[in-house]
Amino acid sequence: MKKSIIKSIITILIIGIFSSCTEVVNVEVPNGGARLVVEASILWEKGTTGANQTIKLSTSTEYFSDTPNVPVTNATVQVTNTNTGEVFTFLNQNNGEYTTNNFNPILNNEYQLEVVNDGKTYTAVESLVSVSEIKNIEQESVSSIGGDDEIRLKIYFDDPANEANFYLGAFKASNLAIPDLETLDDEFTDGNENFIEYEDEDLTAGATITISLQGISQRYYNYIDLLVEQLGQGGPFQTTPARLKGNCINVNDSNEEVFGYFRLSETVNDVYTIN
Amino acid sequence: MKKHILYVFLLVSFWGFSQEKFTIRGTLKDKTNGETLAGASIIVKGTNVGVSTNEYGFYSLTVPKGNYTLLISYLGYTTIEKKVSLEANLKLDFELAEDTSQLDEVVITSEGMKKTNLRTPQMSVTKLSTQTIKQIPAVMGEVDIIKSIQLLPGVTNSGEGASGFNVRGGAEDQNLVLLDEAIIYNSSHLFGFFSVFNSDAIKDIKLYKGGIPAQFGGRISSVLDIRQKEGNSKELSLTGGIGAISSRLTVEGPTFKDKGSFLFAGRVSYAHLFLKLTNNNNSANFYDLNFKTNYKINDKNRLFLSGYLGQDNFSLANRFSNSYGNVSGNLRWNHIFNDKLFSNLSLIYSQYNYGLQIDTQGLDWKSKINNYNIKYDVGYYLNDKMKFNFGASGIYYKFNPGELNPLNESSGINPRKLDDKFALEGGIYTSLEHKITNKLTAMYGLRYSSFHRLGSQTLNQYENDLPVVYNTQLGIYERAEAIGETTYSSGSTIASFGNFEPRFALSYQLNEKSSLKTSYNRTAQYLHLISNTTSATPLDVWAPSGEFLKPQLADQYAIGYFRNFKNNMYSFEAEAYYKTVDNRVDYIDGADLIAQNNIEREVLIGEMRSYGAEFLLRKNKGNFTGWLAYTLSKAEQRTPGNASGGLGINGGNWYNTAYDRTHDFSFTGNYKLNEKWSFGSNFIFQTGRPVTYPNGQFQYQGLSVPTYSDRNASRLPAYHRLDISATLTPRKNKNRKWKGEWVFSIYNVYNRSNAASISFGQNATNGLNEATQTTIFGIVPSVSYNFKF
Repeated sequence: MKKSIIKSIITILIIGIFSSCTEVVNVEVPNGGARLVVEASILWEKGTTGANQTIKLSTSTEYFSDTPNVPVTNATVQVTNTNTGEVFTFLNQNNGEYTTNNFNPILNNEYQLEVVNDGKTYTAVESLVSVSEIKNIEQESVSSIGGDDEIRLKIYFDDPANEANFYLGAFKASNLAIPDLETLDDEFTDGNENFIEYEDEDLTAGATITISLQGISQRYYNYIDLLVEQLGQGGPFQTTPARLKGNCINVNDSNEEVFGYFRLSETVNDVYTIN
Repeated sequence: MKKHILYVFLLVSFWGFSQEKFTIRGTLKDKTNGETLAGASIIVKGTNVGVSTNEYGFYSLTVPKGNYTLLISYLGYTTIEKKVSLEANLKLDFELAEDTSQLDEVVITSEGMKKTNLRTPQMSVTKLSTQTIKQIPAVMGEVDIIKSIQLLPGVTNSGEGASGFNVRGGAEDQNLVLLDEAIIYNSSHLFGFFSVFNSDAIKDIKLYKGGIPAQFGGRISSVLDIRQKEGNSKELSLTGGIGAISSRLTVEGPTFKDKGSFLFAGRVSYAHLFLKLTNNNNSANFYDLNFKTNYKINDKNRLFLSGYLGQDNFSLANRFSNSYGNVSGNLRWNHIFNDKLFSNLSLIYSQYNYGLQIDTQGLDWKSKINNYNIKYDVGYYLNDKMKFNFGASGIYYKFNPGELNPLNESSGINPRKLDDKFALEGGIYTSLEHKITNKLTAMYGLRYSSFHRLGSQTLNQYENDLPVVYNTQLGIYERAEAIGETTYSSGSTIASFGNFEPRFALSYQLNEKSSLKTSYNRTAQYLHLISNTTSATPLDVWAPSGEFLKPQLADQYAIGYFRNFKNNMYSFEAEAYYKTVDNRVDYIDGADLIAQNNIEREVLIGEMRSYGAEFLLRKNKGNFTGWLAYTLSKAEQRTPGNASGGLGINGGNWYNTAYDRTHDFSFTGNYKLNEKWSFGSNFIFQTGRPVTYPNGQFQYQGLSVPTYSDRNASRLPAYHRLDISATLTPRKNKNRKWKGEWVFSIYNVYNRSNAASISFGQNATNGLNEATQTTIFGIVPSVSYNFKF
């Protein structure tokens, strides 16, 4: 289960119980400058070849920027399977995307990413993590804190026993602007039937939800769980925000802050229509 | 060196021993209800020889044979003059009557403010009577002790909906909160909206911000000593009130054929009252029960029994429910050995429990702390120049940090229990208050505290004894893998600590009206509240020191100037302090503290420092009374990587603690128009709380992700608000036994939207980044009715 839910409950209690109110305000924030962002999520859907892969490079911007997406267009990107020595070169599409159509995913093999940008070399190492099949998807109607009914999806799967497993659920509803990420750690539920849940007060009948259940490493779990927790968190009990330094390291200056992560996940995808 | 000075002073005072001396002792009480009066003064008229009553109203004064006039005084009470011809030891009890001409005056006495108190070396302490506290306008009319002390200089908290309080840049867990000597682990109801202390059952409170006397130990920032009323020993009486949040009822009266008294107080909130949304299944409520009784066995022996039980319950949309509460009990035995020797033995129990059920996850979680405390304190009134205090205490703790169970059959939760932890904390102390000359008084104290972590427990072993390691490649701190386990059997010692804690204070009276004081104290704290949220929550667990978590040690230095003027109508105090804390833990980025069996893998050990200046100007008499308080301060911490490697948290640099406030200003006033109407008001202005704002964003997996850097480098907007209240006492009260009053109050009069927090995220509709402020209370009017019968 997602542990941060325990903390968020207290916040929900505070917001829900008392006559508190929220409003959008203008705030001056510091600007830490542009830093490299590596979105290198190698996703291999079960039953496919996984040959087509895309890595995105961009730079960070100030928080309230009008142009939040600043692509990096003159880098070189390649991935090496360190178990087999196979090298996959990702071709520059000149829009910040670097693609390949001959990737060869092998479970539990170790891969190394190498990015060269602006004369600097960045590397990261991860293994390809497997995932369980989705058993079924349940839709239920729950009473929200505000007393209205809200739609919730539960994605059930069997967790392998006697090993630590970590999951990422990515949800994109056809009627909502932003996707949702849900993390799961089997620490309290090892070996049992587990579920990842997704709910949003704006889900409506007829909307289609694209679902991707992904197996992830413990390190990436630590990273993405913190990232998700820091998305729009608030309330008097918020956790002190932390840096989101990923695993892509400048080989000459390990202190350079590089965002994003290189990770490889087996995924199960599904599309669900709300009824 | 200090010891030598002490011997010299002892010698100096023994030289004056040629004359024959006698001792007067006795107890001071309130004439109306028989409550003992603590901190009242007994002075020999025309001299500055005198003594104050202790917590049980006891005093002992030794002077040479002769004829004297004693002045017995207590602020808000009519002073008594008593002629004595002292030719043998005497026992004199006094009953003071409330000064009716000043009945509604703000009775706030702060050590050092009254004429006699200019002399006592004790500084950085404030005493508030419940009468004063009740005159401060409160949110929803709910009188609140914890909120009232935040109007004093040097005391803040994180705003509405934040539990606890911060003293001189200290954390919430660094306050020792004692209710009749029992440790209260969580002083708040409803996550910090109200405190657990029912003002009808409380006699007075004393807050030590520094110069902490040697009799207290275990927390490093402050001591909040709250004493329950003993109960009216003259007649049966009923007090109560009906407010917007809760109703209260207190019964008290004489018992045991006038050899004692009892008090029983209850407070219950209304279940659904503050739920803004109707037509749902949410509920939130709390209750408190206070009990106290005492029995006077004979002139030299008296027994007290007191207890407290309080609980909060929440339930939200049938999805989660949550409850927490404190239980405490104390059996005390006052014994007077002789005219100069007073003693008290206490057996104390306290407990804090916490429970959470999450229906959607099928999770049931419970945690608990129990402690048993035995404590023995002796006061020895050697002569008119010296008073000794000494004593010992032992506390046995049992921590149950968490037990997880499936809530129902369909739950996927595996039952699991975190390791119970056991510890024994001991303390012995001695202190001497010594009047060296007519102008110079010193207090020397020494406390030795010890702490033993006991088995049974199985602990992880780590490579190089480092539970946290720095990953040089990724540049982040990570949990180390355990390389083995050590099993400690029941009763065996896992780790032991011992600390000498010197306490020293000096006062120098410049003239009749003013004095200078200085103090130093070292304090040790063996328990840590594990919390990495901006404000402590009830589900934070307490962790005892052990192999990896070392005791927090604080050193505090303070100096102060104290002055009364215009015939004690006004008083002024100014203090400056500097405080350092060693072994303060902070949490690595992404620390996982929930249901964590190995807290050591989530923390790094650092230090804190704070310094500041506090000013307090008070008007003590007249139709208008009140005070102005201003504090200028700084509180920072630093957490280097040490043996774990790396630079540490925030690059190893100093950063603001969450409770750093540059400016803190407050005004509290009470104006008595006539017998029928009186008005109260307070205004607060505080620099905003340090927070970490994003310094950028990046696009990742279709999301805009905020990036954070320097910890606590930004601040929320300033916090300020004005509250007013009016109290109506109908005239017909005069000749009736039933006395009622109406209290009308408005909290946050000009409806300031104070930020409890500001969060950063994407707008759900257009995906653009925005900052959202959460405000807890806007303007809140309320009415409550209080009665006395």
